[in-house]
Amino acid sequence: MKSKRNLGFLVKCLLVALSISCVEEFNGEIQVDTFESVLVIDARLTDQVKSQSIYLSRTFEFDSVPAPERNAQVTLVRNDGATISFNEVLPGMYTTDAAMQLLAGETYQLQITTQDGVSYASDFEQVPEAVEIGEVQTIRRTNNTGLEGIAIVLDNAPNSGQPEFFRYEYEETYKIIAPDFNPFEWGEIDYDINDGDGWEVLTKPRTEESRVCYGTNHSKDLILTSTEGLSNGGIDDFEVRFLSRNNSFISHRYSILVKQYHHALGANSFYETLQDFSSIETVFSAVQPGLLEGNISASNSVASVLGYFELSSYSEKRLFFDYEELFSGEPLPPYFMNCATGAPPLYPEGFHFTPNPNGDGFIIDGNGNSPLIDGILAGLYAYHAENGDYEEWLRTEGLGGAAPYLVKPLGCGDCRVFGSNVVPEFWTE
Amino acid sequence: MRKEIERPKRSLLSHRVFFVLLGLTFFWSSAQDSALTQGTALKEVLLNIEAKTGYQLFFIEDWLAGQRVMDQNQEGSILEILDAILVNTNLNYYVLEDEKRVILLQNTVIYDELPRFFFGRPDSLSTETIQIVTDSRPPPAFFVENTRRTAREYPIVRIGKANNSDLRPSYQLRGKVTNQRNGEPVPDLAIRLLGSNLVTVTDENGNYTIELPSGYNVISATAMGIEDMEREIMMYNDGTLDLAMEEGLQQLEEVTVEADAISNVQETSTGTETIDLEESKNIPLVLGERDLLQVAKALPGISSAGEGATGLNVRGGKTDQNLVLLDDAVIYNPTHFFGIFQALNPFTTEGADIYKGSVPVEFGGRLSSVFDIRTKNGNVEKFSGEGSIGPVTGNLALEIPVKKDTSSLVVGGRGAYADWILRSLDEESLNNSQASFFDVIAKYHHRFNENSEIKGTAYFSRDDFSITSDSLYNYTNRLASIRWDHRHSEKTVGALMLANSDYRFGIDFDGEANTDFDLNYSINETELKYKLNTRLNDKHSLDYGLSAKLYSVNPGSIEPVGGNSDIAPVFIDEEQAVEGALFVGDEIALTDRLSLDLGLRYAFFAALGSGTQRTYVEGQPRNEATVQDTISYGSGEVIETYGGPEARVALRYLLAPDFSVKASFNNSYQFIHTLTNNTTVSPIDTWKLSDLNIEPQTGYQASLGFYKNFNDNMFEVSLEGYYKEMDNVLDFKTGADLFLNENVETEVLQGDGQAYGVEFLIKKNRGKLNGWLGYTYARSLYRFDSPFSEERINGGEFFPSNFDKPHDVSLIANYKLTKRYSFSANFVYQTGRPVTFPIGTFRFNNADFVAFSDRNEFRIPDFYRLDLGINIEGNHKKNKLAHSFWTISVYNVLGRNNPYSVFFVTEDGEVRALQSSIFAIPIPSITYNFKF
Repeated sequence: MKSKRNLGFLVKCLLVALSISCVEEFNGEIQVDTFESVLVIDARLTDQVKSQSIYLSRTFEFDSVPAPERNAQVTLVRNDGATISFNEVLPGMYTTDAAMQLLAGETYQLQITTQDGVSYASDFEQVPEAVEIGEVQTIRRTNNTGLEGIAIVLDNAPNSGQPEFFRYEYEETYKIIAPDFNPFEWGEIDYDINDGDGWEVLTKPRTEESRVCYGTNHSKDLILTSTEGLSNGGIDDFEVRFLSRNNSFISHRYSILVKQYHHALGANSFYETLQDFSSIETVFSAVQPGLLEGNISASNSVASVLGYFELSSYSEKRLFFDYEELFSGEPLPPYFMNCATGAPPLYPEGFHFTPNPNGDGFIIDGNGNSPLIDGILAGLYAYHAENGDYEEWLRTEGLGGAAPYLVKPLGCGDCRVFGSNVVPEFWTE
Repeated sequence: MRKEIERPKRSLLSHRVFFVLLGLTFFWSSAQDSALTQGTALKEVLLNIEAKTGYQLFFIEDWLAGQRVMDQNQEGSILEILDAILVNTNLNYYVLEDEKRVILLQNTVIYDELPRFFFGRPDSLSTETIQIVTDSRPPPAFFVENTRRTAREYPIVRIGKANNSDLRPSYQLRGKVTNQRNGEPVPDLAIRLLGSNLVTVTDENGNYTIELPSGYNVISATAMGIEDMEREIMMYNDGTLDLAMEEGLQQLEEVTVEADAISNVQETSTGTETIDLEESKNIPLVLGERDLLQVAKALPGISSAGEGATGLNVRGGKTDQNLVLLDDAVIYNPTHFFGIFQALNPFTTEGADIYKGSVPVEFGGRLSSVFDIRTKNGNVEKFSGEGSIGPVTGNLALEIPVKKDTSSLVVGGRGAYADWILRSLDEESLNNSQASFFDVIAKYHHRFNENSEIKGTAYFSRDDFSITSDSLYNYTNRLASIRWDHRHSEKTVGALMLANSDYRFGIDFDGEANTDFDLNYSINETELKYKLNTRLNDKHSLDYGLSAKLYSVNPGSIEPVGGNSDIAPVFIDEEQAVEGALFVGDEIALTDRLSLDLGLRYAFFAALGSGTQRTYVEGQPRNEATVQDTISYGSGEVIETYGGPEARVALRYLLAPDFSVKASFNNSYQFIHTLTNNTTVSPIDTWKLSDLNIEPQTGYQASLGFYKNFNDNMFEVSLEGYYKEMDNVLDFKTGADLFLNENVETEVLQGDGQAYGVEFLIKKNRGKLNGWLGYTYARSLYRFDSPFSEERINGGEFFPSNFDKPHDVSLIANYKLTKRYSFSANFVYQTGRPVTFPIGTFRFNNADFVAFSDRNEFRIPDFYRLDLGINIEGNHKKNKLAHSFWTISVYNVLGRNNPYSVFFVTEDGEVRALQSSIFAIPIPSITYNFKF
């Protein structure tokens, strides 16, 4: 319900007033003696014509990784008895062999039999009517927690005279420009002390694009809304994404693909409850969690099952904007990382080596690794400039502590740390 | 031996003897007030008589001070004249006819014969008439200065005018005891004759009667909260002595829960507690706020889900099962700011009686407890006030006499300045938060006469808070009550009460999209109640009466705000209902040791139209698919009725005068429920009336306890056990939407609960070190079973409630160092409360979530907290403008980070285990209190 939704904002400290009430990480031991291995079904099918996938896994313990459910029989049954089977292509991922389309007006049931012999079946669900996603636009504003930034909002107009329920996902792509791009990068590295010429780091001209890249991020939140309780039957300026003006994503050019899934009331209730269980309303009161019942149940066992068989009609829209359009003349958001300049020495302070008495190479005394070379090999540094003080240092202080180059953190000189240097197909300038 | 002298003539004695004000703190009342200002001075009259008759009169002028005679033109013998003019005085006279002398005497008479058998047994009988007189005649009362036994704080009081023809071994002393500060009667004041077993207790109007031996007596008067008084009294005849008592300063420092020391043993009822707010002011509480509800939580059997949780759980009952009354009117949410502060003004609140076991027959409608909170009567003598300045609130209460000794007004106001603190905090995300609250109260009371008194209370409280800039929450309590207490006859007193209560909350949402709205909920109830008490005789005291209540609930409405909003307005139909009760109870003193309270209450409820109700297919879970029919009801049409008899039975047997065993049984109905799907109470929970589909909750409780006082009531020890069962308590399907839901019955589950426990309490009532230690072992379990899995919780098995905390230890201690300095401490230990814990994590749509199964299978870490406080009384200089009192306290001295809740959130697709805690660090505070 609309009103309910608005109650659920995350609050860090409420009795803030006196900064005495707080939410913090729970440090106690989380020992779940009652861990239950429950089948988790992620079955969200749309009316798109494509090969569709269903994901099966098992609940897992904290600090552990998901366990895919393998070797299950997954079948989609239409009300007229026609079946489509899904085959496991990756552990836990079951996909139709060919592109398929769900037919409007028909009902479908999901049937799964796991390798332990338990059969699960969903209720028969219908594909909802198609609803075109309306205008997607940006609004510069201050959000309800006081942050200034850009809200991505959308409209639609199902005009069915019924409450309609929607779930949104988005895929955002943003241009990254490395602030300390240098046309040179590290070249050959000589990290062998025994070859007689000491250590050496060379540079070379860059051959790959590393100044402009494109980063991509997928939504992870449950974004839900409905026209329930609205008089005009359509969604108006619903916020799917809010980007603080300090978010590095919007520094240059930004694109968002908003995906609208028009689904049924039952699916909406399921996701809303899941969301309630996973967020804080206020410090003082929390929603009573419990077993989340969906529309799938075990037919030959009392085993619990998690998940909802969701059928939706799909619609999407893409939006581009430049920082300059919205924040003309204003300073850019900070870059993804702090781009301080460093000068790691080629040889560590107090570096000293002596020829091996048996004549076989040299022996390095003390901590004998090269900070510069270790950093480059670990992917920490990007070449920035020659160090003008290097010769002077060698003359006065000797080898120990001498730094031939000025460096920047790798991400500052090479955008590939944060994205791909391949221009996405959909990208337009 | 016998001289021929005239026997002194009898002067007419009046019970109301005219009096001179003898001291600051007591006075005689008189029916002849007018004589003060009219007539001729007595001295003048006497001198006149001397001149006319030739008799010489002997007297001390002080005796005559201020006394006047109305009619001085008396004719007749000197005896007749003196009889006439002294009739209304406390003077006797003795005539020495031979010497033509008259000796005036104050109070006393001249014994013109020696006591009988002064010289041994006579050999012959005296005349019969004399014998009769002397037989009943006590020996003369001698009063020698150095026999006085008390410090001479008060002058000696002489009662009555001895009457030679009516000399008795003892006389009756009666009077009324009032509180000097406000003129209120002092009930339950023990008046003892020192050196004897004679004792009497003042009744509820402060009246007492005691038979005292003639002559010199010392009586002591003691009561809780009252400065002890010892008075020397010369009894010459029956008479009246009204006492005006001072409030005991040394008593103020003590934490006293029981009003009278022995009542815990002697009362018949079980599970009753009394909190006197003034006397509990030293208990260190969070942010220096005096809080009756927090003090209540330190008593066995009363707890809450956690620090800062709204709502109290009494003996394993749910938070909606408490009837909280403020001056007879229900207060639906007696707290501010999520339950951290009480919404009651501590300076206008006198105290509360808390019934968690045997609830008096006049109360009903809730299963677990009654909190009967009373506001003070104002000072009828002089203007006075009290106030405090603390870190969160400012508070002022005034007592304004309207008509001296008759009526007065109490007004109190409290406001929080948390808003200001919020804004000044250097935390960006909080700049849009706000929180403010206030409450105001006014009470007027008017005493028509001894037999009739009227009281009226009006109260309003409001909370506003917002967490994000687009939504503003508010809730308000408003109530008004009027009560007329009257005495029908010597044996029957009655009280007629009319009360109206209103509770409402609202959310104003002003966001960026097309969804701006204004949402409201309200409940209103009006109750008329008439109760009577008749003391039939020594053995029977009857309580009886009836009550009727009308409910009107707006279960929720939502309206669009601004032209841009597309919110469709929704108004859920109003709900109406009447609740009534007839009750009669008899307190029977079967023997000296055995007493029995028998009560019967018939509770009745009718849900009324207009409205629509659905019926559902029998034997199917209630949901949209199983709707059978929708019935419409016209305005005032009865939808459904519920009700039944409620028993209130309690038995007490005194094993010894200070040791008793008690047992009680009672059952009750509750027709109103809160709808909440939170783990703790939230201010936006709604109340729902029973209707066609939601049945009333019922419950019964049986308890047994032992009560023993030691050391002259200095120590009280009690051990009480109870077992309680509840039926039709409400819970909800997982993820239920309760608000603005027209068919909430599809989300509601009704199940049963059981609670049992043992409560141990030891109290030290007096001395430099006083306080109490309580330990409770209690369980609270609920069960929601159904043939359908969607209506089952935890597989239909009993599971612990959110407030099931088996072990609970509370210690409250005060140590009085000097008259001005005292230290107090408060320690609490509780088992951690149950929370619902995940059975694992699952990945869904690129994000991890936690999965839950059975409810409340895990407990958060145990809770413990120590609070310390220092109380400093200002000096007691008389001419100071205001009497001040500083409280310096540190809440949670140990800095224990007690988790309030442990929960799991999904942020950026990752599960994080979080704990919330309300007061995780030591909170120092300083509060300045003043009184004038």
